[in-house]
Amino acid sequence: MTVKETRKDLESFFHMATWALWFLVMILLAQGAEGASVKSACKLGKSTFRQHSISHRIMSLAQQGSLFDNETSTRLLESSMFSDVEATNHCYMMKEVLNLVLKEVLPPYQQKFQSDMQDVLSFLHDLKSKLSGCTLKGDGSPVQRKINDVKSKLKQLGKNGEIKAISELDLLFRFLGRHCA
Amino acid sequence: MRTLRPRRRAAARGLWAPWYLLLVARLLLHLLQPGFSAPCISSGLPKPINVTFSSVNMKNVLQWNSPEGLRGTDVVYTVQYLIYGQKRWLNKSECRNINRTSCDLSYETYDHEEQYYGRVKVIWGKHCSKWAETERFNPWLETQIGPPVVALTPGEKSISVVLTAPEKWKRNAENNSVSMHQIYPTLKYNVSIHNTKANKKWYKFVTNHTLEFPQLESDTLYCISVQAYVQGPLRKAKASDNQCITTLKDQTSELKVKIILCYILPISVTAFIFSIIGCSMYRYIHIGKEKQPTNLVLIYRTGYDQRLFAPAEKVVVNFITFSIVEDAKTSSKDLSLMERVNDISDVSTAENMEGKSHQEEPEVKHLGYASKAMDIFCDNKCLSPVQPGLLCSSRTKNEPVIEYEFDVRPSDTGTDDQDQEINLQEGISFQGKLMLESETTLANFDQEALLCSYNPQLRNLQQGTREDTETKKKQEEEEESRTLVDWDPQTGRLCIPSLSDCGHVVDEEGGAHSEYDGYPNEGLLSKLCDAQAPNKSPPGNETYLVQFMEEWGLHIQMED
Repeated sequence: MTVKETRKDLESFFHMATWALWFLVMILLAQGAEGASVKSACKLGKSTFRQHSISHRIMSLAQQGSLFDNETSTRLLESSMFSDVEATNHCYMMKEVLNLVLKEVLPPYQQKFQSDMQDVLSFLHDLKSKLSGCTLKGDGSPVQRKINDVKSKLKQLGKNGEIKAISELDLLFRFLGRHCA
Repeated sequence: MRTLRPRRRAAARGLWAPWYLLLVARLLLHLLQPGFSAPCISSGLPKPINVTFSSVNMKNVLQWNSPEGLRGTDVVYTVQYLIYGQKRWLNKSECRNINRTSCDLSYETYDHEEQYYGRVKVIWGKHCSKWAETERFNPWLETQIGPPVVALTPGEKSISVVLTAPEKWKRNAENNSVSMHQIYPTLKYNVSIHNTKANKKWYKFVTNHTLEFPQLESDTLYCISVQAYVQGPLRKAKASDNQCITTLKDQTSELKVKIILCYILPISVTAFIFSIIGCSMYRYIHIGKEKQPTNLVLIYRTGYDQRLFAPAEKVVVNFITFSIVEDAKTSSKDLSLMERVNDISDVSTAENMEGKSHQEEPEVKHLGYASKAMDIFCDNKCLSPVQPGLLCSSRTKNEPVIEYEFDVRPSDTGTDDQDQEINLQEGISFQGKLMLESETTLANFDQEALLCSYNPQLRNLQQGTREDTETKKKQEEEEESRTLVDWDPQTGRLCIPSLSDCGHVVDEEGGAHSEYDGYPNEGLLSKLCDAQAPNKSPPGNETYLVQFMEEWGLHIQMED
């Protein structure tokens, strides 16, 4: 009698356990799907932009760059640049600017701002890789035009443009956080 | 300036233009000039130094110091500002030709998304200095976050703190206020709390606006200061002023103290007092040993010179004397008489006997004291051992009847004749009654013998009262046969040293009265042989003897 009862109990327990596991797996899968969808939609976690140490380094770097920037009448990153662009492409636009800065601006200044540049570069590269899946949606012409404006300004200013870009790293960081998180 | 120059050139060039146009243009220039630029000559005047923006909660004020060479002189300053990325410097009308060394540009620099530049120049008379520019001012990055509004609520052992984030500077009073928390979502607060009593300080970082410091000491002054904190390299945190607050007094402990002091303590004290009183009363009533007054304590000692029993009050001492007059020549007649008396007495004299015994009882109780006292007196040689008048009839000496005499007489240590008389009178009256009864019942018998045997006291009294002198004589004679009775009041034991001598009477009376059963029968009955020597006992007497033999185990030993 007792052996049979224990067997029955065990069987019922295993049934319950399998059901519970099934639910767990489903929940995990659902969460994973959600995370994937966020990534595809050019979204990063807000916590990425609330890291105290890296934000502090970026601010510091921008502050140092602004001291070397004597050109007051030109600004690379402005709030007005988002005016004509669809909201869905805001993050994409910032991602393109980020790629530009990483590719053309920062590498020559690794030595000059040694203390902070290393960490900032690695952080920005990490962001770039995270936003690699972010693509242009819909009409991309205004986005492209804006990006070209920035490129032309940089070319026009030359060396000063590079410094300006560094002095506006804080703006880049804020815009990324605002539109990609 | 820049805008006006082309016009001038045009005017200069425009000679072909009508002459009034030139006049109008000059007039306009004259009117507008003071509003746009100071008519000063840029000379070698030194620039203002340390031109910076100071910003707290987005209230951005341009500050500078006057140049070293021009301190104390009457100079004025003019301020301009530029939004980063724009080409034109803008005038601040309120900060034109001012004496002070600061200019509030909060309104102009309200947008914290923008970055700004500011510049100042010195004007001294018609001379002015070059512009002294600030570095790029980023209000979002550089503004100081002011201290939050701190509201403290003290508890008994805690302080709850409610923080209100500081507000951004407002353009107009009507405008909706913007919290700094909206601008900086990552705003944190560094709360420091200082225990003034223990002089300890500790910090707590919080992101929410309410917090509570638990487990504090009650009734202690705590000083709390809060510092808002936002990430950023150049930001200098500004701490709030120390707000000090005292935690509440511990109500429960106060209540406890109150209860203890007001209720428990007095109640317990009164209870204690009452219990002590009760205990002492109980002890006084029940437990405490009742001590005899020292003046009543009898001291039994051999040496009477140490202490004397000298009671303050009058103490009645009863002298009890047993005197047995025994005559060897016991005539058979008298014996027969005695037997007859006994024979009759079983029926008729029962009352008399009882009366007698009752009479004797209370007096017997005093025997012990009497004997003691007598001993004392005898030893002490202070009084004559026995009072006179105790003896039985003087006549009975010659008669063949064994007479058992005992005299119980109350006597006073103090020679109070009145008391003695009263006692005697009482005795007489009582005895008189008895005598009457005995006379009526025992009319046939020899009255003298009866009186002598059954009412010895009466005889005593009669004799005592009649002839004192006679008794004195006889007393001397009979002193030999007198027996002192020693009766211990504590044990209730009566000790008669020569009991065998007086056993006769005791036995005979004991036969009728069970009070005397305790006395040794053998000693008492052994003397019956003397009485029963003649064989003329009546038949009634024989039945008695048989009864005695059966019930009391009487053994009669006949001696020749």
